[in-house]
Amino acid sequence: MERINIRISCELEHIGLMGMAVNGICQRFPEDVSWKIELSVIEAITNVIKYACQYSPDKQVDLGLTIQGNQLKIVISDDGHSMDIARFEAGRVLDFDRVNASDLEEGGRGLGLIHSLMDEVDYQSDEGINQLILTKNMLAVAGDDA
Amino acid sequence: MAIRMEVEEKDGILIARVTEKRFDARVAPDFRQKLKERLEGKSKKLVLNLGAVEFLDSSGLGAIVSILKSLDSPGSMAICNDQGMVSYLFQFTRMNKVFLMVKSEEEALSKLSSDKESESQAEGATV
Repeated sequence: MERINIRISCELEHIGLMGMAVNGICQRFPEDVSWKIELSVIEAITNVIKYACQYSPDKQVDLGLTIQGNQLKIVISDDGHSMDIARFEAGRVLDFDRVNASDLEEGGRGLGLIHSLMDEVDYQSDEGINQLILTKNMLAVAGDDA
Repeated sequence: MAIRMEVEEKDGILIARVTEKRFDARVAPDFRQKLKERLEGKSKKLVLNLGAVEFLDSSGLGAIVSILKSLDSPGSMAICNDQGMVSYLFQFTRMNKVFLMVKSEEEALSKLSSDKESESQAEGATV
């Protein structure tokens, strides 16, 4: 099992650094998988900074990445405001069928993208610690044509 | 945070070249504001060159959608030189069906210019 932990303060200036670190770790995976992992992490971290920690530089967000066999697991933790479970569940349904510009929303795609890009997405909040758990099964790579 | 972007106008068409490698939540608000200021009351056609962008997230995508919606019609904007994960993201979200996606700036200018000529001819015909 391989494991790495990365911590940044809740400032948007640091998301690029987190993205580059995850991108480096994911170089071992095919390109059509690595971009999904990096994007999911950035969407999740951005949500934590914006909504859970509300741009507070005194707050921190932790990323724990584990590779075991063919499974990659990422746990993103914060001690900010917890996410409304209804909002989390609503993100499972992302409408990608709107092809008319007038119908398009400018925002609100982040959570839906995470659900679509990863194999499993779970969220839990306990004793003031929120955790978003993302799983990607590498065995599914060959059949993953999205 | 300020986005690195070159903007010029050619034959009434605005060309914006994002020179930022990571087009994310850090720079998306500045992109939106800068381009809306440049488009206000002036050119209503835009070529967006994403050739230097290696990473795009939903904040960046949302800012691009915002610019599209501020134009007269979806056909007034073309995106060119997208590559790697940027292309994957447009395809994955089906935004490649919303935007006019072309390979080069030249092709984008040609497409938008020909639309402009068609419009001029149509306007001329009604006078």
